[in-house]
Amino acid sequence: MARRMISRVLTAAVTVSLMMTGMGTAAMAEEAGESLICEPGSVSLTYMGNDTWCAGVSYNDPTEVQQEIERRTGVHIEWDTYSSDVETVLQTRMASLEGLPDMVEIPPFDSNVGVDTYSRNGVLIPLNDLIEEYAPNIQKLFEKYPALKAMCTSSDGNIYALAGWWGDINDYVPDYLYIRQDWLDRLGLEMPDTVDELYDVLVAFKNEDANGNGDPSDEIPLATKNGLMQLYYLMTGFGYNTNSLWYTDDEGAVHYAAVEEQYKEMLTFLNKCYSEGLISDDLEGTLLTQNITEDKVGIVCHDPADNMASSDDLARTSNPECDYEFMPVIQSEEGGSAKMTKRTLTWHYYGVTSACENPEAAIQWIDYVYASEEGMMLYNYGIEGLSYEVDENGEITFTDLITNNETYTSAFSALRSIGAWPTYFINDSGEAFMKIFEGTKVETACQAAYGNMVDPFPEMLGTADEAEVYTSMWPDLSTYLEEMFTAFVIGTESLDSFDSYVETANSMGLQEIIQIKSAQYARYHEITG
Amino acid sequence: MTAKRGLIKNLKRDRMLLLIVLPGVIYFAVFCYGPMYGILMAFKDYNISKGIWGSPWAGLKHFRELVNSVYFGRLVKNTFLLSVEQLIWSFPIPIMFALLLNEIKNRHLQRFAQTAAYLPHFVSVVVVVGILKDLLSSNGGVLTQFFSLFGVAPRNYFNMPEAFRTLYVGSGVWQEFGWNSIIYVAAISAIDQQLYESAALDGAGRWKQLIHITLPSIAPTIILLLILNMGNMLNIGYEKVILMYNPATYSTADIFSTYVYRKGLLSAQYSFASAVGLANSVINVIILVGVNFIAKKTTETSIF
Repeated sequence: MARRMISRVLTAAVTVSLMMTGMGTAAMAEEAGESLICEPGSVSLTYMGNDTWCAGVSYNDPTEVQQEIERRTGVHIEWDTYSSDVETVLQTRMASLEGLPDMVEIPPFDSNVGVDTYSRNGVLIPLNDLIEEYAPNIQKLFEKYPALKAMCTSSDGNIYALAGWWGDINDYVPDYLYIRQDWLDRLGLEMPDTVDELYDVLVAFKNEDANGNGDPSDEIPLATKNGLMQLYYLMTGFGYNTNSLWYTDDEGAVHYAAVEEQYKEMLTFLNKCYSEGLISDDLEGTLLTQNITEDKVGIVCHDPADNMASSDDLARTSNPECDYEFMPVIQSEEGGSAKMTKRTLTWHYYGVTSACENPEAAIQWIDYVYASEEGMMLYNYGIEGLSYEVDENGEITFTDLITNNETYTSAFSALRSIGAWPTYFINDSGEAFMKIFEGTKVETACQAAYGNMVDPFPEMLGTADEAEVYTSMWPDLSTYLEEMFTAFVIGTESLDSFDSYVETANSMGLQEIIQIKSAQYARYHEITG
Repeated sequence: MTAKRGLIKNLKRDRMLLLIVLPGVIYFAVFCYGPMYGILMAFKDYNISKGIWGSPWAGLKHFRELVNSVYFGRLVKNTFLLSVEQLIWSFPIPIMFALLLNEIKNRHLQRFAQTAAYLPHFVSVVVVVGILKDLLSSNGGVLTQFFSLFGVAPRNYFNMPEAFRTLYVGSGVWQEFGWNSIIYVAAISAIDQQLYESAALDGAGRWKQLIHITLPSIAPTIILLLILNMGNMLNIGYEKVILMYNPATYSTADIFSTYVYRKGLLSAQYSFASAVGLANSVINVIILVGVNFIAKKTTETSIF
């Protein structure tokens, strides 16, 4: 009797509480647009990674968009983000296994060996089943972009990490050289198309006081942004079809350009330019911003189209006429057909760690911010009413906060300052990008490039063996390649020793690396078909 | 039994002294001896989830890899030369500066000179390197323009392997000589003034006083610091080198710690990086013991 009573009371209690939570969720969902993942405030997750790229703002002190995401999903995020030396912080925290976050941007950022290492070590958990069960939008994204799925899939067939996806935006945004159109005009020159024309332009910039300030020696005809080796972008001028060090020939064999005869021709050319003072000797690009601002830089190699606008802004502080223009691909001869390579398809990887006690909530939250329609609106345009308005035709216009912001003069920075265009679970939209730059020369450059670019060489995740070989050989080898490139160009090493350079590169494992790349390229095509 | 009782009695008697020493012991245990456990990583294939102890043994694999690396010879040479050059310049200059300061008899001027000299110590190394790059820029740098008055063609010294060590050591000396001289100034001020008075009575001038009184009086400090400096000789931090080097100067600028940084932190090869770090420390210990031995034999001053 007593037992039955107890069970009845229990059943009633459970029913009531179920009803209550049910009602609660329903009522909340109505208000927040049905995207609640859990009872607001009942789930808290931590995220560790890069902070926003907007100066003066930090995710650690949540921005409007982050607060809105929390309001709509009900999931509270503890942000643990850093704006400098992020990789070192993350690597040490991951390696010590202390205080692992639930979700993490996986170091090292510029390669995917981190995903290999941490998944094999059990720090990252497989997400396949979770995605299948809880993340319909990520599934849709994978269907739309098989390349993304390929790049997220480890060699054991599991998905341990989601790649920041740039495949969409990079169909639109070219990344190449830009040149001072006003200098060309002043000197009566045409936009250079071939290497020979480029050389003439550089010489003219150097000798003819291109900026017209009376000092003929302060111009820097050509400067690099991220290290001298970026000058490999000029390889299309020497018979290559596109500017990519890793490429495949017609038979599908993988090549690394930097050890080939054609490439040597380019090095010879660059060496000549450097010795004549046509290339900036600020090898790391430390002083580039300063030099652009001082109206000294003729051509910048290389930058995505949107940065062209910021370079304009910089230079106009000292010369209001400054007008950087995006350059067409340099050809080896008139009428050549070499094309630009798109920027990489993926950005850093993001994963869920073994420390996460509620991976279901985590994957649902990721699904929302990374792939859902609603999440993408917040991602790209911010919050309706605050940063944009929609008229009756569904047309989006940005508010004054974005287009006329006093602190953040570019619409991009203004959007970032409220938390849009985040650095976590990146999935940039080309359409939204074009919206931001509507009516500018960045839009013109993007339109010219759209459909005219070659897909980049895919960066696949490695097998255990591949990762082992890659991590033990590539760091030394890439140091060597970069060092020798620099030495050949600035002339500390004669190009006569090109053959022994190739030999050394091979002895340091270049052929093994090429084999790995070939295997990965084959796997990529298996998945993408 | 008696020994044990004696120990307890001693502990009781010296409890205050023991209390004083305790923070130091804890500091070394937690921050110096504790982390030594991590050295094990150098002999293992470190796997994060298995932890240091659970990871499989690798023997001397990582050391072999280091010695066989194409960069090993260069790393040893660069680290060693940079350390030696650093020591040659940065060690005697603070001593000379302290001696010079001592000769300034105007208290206010002396204080001012000392403060002005050690202020750069508080400037971040990032800023120091930034200033240096700006001054030496081949395109309008102040120093470049100054040199061109004497017919030196503008060039970027940061791209010249042969200039790297000079830039590194020179900027380091500028930043630290004032700060490092403080300890010598303190040692000099502790010298008994009567010595100088009696020397003056014997007819010793300022120079003789410096040679025969000041220098011998601070000699133990100098030797002690020299030994300590030697022990730290190969421990050059990577931060400043990374700010200053580029592919054009790797041939003289790449040292053990930058290599560890690239391999260990950027490529996540923890075991290999530990092995490199350990090798570096072992060389340090050998130098320390060696110098200490020589100092003991020749000057009877030593740290152990």
